[in-house]
Amino acid sequence: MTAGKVLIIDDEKLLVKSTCMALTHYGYETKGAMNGEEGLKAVLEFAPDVILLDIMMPGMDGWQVLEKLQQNADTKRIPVVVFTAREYSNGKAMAVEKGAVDFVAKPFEPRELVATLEKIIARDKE
Amino acid sequence: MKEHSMDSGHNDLERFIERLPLGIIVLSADLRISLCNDLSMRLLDVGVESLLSADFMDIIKNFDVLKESVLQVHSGKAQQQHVVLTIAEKSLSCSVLNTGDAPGNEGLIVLVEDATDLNKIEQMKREFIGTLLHKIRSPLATMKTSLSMLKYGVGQPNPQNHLEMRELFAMCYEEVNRLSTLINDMRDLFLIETKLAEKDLVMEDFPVDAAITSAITELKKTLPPEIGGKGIMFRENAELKVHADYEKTKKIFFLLMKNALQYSGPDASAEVSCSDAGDSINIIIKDHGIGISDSMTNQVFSKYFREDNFTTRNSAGNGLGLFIAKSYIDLMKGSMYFNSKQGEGTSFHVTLPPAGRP
Repeated sequence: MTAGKVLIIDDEKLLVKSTCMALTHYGYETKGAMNGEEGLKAVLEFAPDVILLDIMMPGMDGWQVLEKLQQNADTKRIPVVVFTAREYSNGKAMAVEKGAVDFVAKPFEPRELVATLEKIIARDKE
Repeated sequence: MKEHSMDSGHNDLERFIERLPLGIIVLSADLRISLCNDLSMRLLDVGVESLLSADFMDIIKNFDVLKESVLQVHSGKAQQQHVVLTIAEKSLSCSVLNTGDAPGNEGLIVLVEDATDLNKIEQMKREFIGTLLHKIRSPLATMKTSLSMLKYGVGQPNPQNHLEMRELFAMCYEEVNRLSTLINDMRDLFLIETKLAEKDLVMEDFPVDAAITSAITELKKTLPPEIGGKGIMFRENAELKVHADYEKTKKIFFLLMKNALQYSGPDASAEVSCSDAGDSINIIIKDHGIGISDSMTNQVFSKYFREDNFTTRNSAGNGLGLFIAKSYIDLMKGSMYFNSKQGEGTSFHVTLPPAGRP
């Protein structure tokens, strides 16, 4: 029994790798996708409980991925956490307005990320 | 010096305000110009004939924000106002102050300053800091995640943990290298944008192949093994000497050869050749990689360019390399261009002045 399934969509190879390692350590099953297209495919195959979604990616950016996820009946209920290095003055409000459930600014503390994921997964199960 | 109601006692004042690097306009209580210097009229782009009317509100009739400020101070609603106007690509910083004369007889002083350069520097500073903040966050995130694992996550040492720890350290090391490259590139970018880069060059005569072979040696040490399988083919020619900055030239060749291998897949190879064209030494770095897409060709030398179609995605690129390389080549009185065909490869051509040119 895993703590949950987390898909990380981010073009930063090492960040995907280190985040997957950290979350695996905390009992999560993880999968990484290096761009939007790969991420949308992985969502269907992997069926994650939560998606960590980077915004600034080559090709399709994170906001476009979020829009696609919401247009698809199979994926629109999966909670998305926006996960970005970009400066936003109102990051969380903007992410929520666009349909995400939370916003995590890089760099982040893995234990805090785990706390966020636990809350989201627990809420989702209720 | 333009004046309307001046008495002889004003002579010293006139000379003084004419020499100030600041536009000054003194207005009487009925908002007519009583004194102003030439610079103020030049900055506001107002012809002398306009002064004949001397009604300041008429002169600035097209500048609504300044009009509003003058009215605010004139009516006593504000002691002073500050606005920025844009006139013919110039940024003018204008201050409107009360002269502090007896009530009912209060005039105004308008100070006009050319803030175009200041504005540009301010804009550059904002862009620079914004880029730096954004670009350091991702490597920091990898390092924080990895170090947090090492601190809290990896438990009792066992063979599995040992491998995991090595991997975490390796990731931190790679990200530290990436941050070092970023900091050096941001330094170069700063020097280029503030026009200080030329002073940073050490121009000398040296054999061009010394810079190329040294860059190849360094490349072999730093490139990950999965990149650049077949390496660089280079036929040395000690005869060809250039007049340039050795360290910068070496860095540029390093970047061009690294790109050549990085964009070429696991069996990558690249060829470097040099020739003497009389008034310049030409160096060509040719790869057989993915090429540069037509839609990207105009952006290759622009800031923050990065072709995203990596065959081997390497996180080290920050998109500043080619912009910096081209800027330095230009400063060294050389040139740089490329030919590319998608699917067939890219050739970067660098020309540098031959030795013996001061």
